[in-house]
Amino acid sequence: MMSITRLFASLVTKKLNILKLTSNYVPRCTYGLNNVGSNDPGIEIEEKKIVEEKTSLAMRAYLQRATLYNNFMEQQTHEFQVGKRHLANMMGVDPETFTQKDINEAIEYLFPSGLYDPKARPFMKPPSEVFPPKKDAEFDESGRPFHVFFYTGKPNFYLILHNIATKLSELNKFEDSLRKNNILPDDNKKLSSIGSQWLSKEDVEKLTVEKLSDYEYKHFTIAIERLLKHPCSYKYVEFIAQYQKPMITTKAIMESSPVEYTKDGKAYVTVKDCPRKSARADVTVFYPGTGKLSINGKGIEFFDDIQAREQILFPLLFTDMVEKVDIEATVRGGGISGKAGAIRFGISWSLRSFVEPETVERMRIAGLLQKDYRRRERKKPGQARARRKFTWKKR
Amino acid sequence: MKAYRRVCNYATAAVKQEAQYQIPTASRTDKKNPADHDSHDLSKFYTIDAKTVSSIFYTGGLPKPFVEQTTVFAETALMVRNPALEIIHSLKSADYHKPARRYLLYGQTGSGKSLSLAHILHYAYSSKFILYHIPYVPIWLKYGRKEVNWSPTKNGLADVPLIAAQWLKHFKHQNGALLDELNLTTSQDYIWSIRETTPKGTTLNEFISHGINRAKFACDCMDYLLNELKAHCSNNKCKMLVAIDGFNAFFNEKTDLKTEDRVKVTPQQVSMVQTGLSAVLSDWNNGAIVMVTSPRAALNTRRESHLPIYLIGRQGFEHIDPFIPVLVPELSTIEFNNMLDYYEEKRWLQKPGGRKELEFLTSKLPADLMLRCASL
Amino acid sequence: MALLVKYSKFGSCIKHLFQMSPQFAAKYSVYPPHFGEPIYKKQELDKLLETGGIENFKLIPFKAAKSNETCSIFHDPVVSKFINYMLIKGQKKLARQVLEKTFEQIKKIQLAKYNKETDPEKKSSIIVDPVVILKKAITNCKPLLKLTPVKRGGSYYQVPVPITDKESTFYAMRWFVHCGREKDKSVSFADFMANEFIQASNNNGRVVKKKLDLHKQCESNRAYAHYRWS
Repeated sequence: MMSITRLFASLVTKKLNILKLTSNYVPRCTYGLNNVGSNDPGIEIEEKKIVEEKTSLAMRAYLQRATLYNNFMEQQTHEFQVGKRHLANMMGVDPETFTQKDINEAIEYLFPSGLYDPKARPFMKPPSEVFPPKKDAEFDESGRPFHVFFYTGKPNFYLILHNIATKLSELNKFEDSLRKNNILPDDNKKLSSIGSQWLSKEDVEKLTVEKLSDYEYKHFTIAIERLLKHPCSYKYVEFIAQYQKPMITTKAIMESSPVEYTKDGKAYVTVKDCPRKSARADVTVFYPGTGKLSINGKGIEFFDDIQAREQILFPLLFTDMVEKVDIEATVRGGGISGKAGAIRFGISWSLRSFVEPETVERMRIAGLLQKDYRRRERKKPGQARARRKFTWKKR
Repeated sequence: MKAYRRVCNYATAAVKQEAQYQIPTASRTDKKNPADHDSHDLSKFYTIDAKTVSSIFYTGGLPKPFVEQTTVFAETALMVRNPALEIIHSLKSADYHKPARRYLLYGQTGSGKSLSLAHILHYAYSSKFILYHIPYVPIWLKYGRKEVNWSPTKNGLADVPLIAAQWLKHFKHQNGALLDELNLTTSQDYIWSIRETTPKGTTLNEFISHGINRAKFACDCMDYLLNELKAHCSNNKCKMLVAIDGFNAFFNEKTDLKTEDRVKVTPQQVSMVQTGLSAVLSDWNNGAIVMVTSPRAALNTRRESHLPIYLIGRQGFEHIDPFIPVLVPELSTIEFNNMLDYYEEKRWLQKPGGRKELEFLTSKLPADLMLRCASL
Repeated sequence: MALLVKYSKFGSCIKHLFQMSPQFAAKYSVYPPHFGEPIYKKQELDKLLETGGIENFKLIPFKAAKSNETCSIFHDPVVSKFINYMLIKGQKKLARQVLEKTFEQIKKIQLAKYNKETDPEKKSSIIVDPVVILKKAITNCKPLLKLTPVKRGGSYYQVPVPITDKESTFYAMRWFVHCGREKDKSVSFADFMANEFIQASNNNGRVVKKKLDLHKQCESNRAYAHYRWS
């Protein structure tokens, strides 16, 4: 590890263009994702003749494996293409305009499956999606690695970190130069972290074709967060955007359930199967109402517990609709707290239609519009209960 | 008053800084005698002075949580509500030559029936009625290692002598002074045993004391006492109010009382219950009967409804038919606000505002409200 | 590598609950890490709207509100926390009932004092609100330091160490609960704890004594304070 740092330090101080070095020196393979750190798009592929005396046994086996994989993938791709055309012909569709979506529909039609897990059902996908990507030959016949960071063991990942670090130092220099001329970094241009989240560990693993540990992923997050927070980070927007993912919009919550009308013209909303633990509730809220409440035919006396009663009151109090709506609820399953939570969710979900969008947003922030998916944690083997461990005995 | 409340309840932060919260005062009425209460006093509090409270309710009659509250507030304040007022008016305008009228107070648990009964009792006390008051019937019938003996005089009935003696004490405490005033006496000899007799013409007070001292004969004493009182009332010597709280307990299916031979007795088999049931009959005049049926008195048996037909059943209905049913409803909005004002005035309710919440959570039942406000 | 080390050392510390397999995970949450904690009090939300901080929350999903939290004015997070600490075997109903009885008792005691007091100045200084007394009692019992065992040369020394506000509150509340468990069987929890809270709010009582004992111990172990850093 120390040697590698020294190597990098020397490389950096010497200001050598590392990548150019490798590109001129060694043949590049088109397959796999070795081109992660490459800045030059148009590299010519030179097939160097393999000199038999210089290759070791291990090297030969390695190259053999790589070629086997490549051939295998070629074959699979070919089969896939042929199969796709056959399928298109079977379905009577033009093979040229046969998309993946059409393939999926065709397979579902031709091979109907009653299996529960979607992953177990038959599928037809391009082999690049099915077979996990493998890294191509990482070093040439003489054993010299292509990638600069090969000896870290996770070259692509550490290249990302290295890039972040270099960019950070460049930004610092840039900021220094600005400040020398008494210019402050432009606040308007500053990048914000709202609306996006970083790639998850799985995403980064996919990107680098390398398995990462939690510790390493944490490092990555800290590093790129640091880069983003730099006031001049707008200079490297595209670089940072590579590792960003947009946040999930809360569209489902903002669209309220449909409003129906009774014979008398009263507006009402019904929400079915509101879940909480194992309780399920059907809640109907009538809008121009007087504050009547009926749960399984009874009033609020259905619940003896104060906490349960408070939970039902919560959404009504929050939106100031205590005396303005009538509620009819039927609830089954679960216990006292579960029933109360289910009804609470039902009331909140229905009230969206009778309340301003601003209030809906407030309800969302208050946590009223989120389904509570918490379930009882299972007991684990080797432990007494879900968390409680057995008494530790010295002997 | 309303303006204050409006300011305080709906004020924004800015306005609140200007107007510091003024602790409200409950609206009260100054009339101490319930006979004077009329519709102007509705939803207002009236206080009963301590002496009267101790003379009527010392041995029972006011619910325990309420009594604890009165010690904290240093006063006994009852709210004048419609059901009690109706019955009092009816009593005032009743024709006492006719047989005794029956009133039945009913309502949900915690809607204020016992306190309405207390209001009526106070009226009766101040109007010089004799109070034949059973504070809460299930006390007679609950398991408590009480001695239960088969009655020597009445066939097939069981005696609970200690409880009967306790009740006689209660009766004496409430009515002792009045009986002295009226100077009622027994109309015949009563032979308890070979050596013990109560001759004709002894004052009722002495008669009752004998019953208290000789607990063995307390149940019979109760029975004879009732007959005496009925006779006196029919002869226009005195007026009587029979007040029974938890009336439907007479018609429960079973009790937890066991005799020495380990036989569980039903309520109908207890002699005191039979006395109570005969008190409710209309074979006397110059008085009135007020009964209260409460789901709580059914002792975890009948939970479905609070209506009297469900609680006392067909048998009970036929026993007390005809009667005037009076519903004790939840608090109205004015009453509810007044009650909370009272709690805030006494510094019991520490957090002002939040009335809507309390309204929803307790569905305006006064007992629930009392329970909720205890911790706030 | 050196560059990275240099920049990551002072990097932001991210609280992460890793979504590992639920079977044998040390930390496990149904919600992914980016979910926000719900803000349910109306006043706080009003403040957010005023300052414009609500914009930050537009794209963050929020966790569901807990079953014991409401926007009602009668709900207090400190009281909720205390009820949770009092809980045994998940009997929340009982814990809450008992605490409410304690509040009732506090009110009775304080009201008796209030009604007896004639001097208007002293009268206005008597606090009757049980929640205020609870909070005051807890703040009076919060320790500033705690003792942690540090191993030095084969033996463990009790080293005084500063603690966060959260931890300090936890200790204060826990001492109250333990104190309640040590009570005499004949006295009810409500009566006992009411007295404890009132005494603690006046800087008396067992729990405050516990805090002062801890402070004394920390003072006496001052010499070992430097053991914190090697």
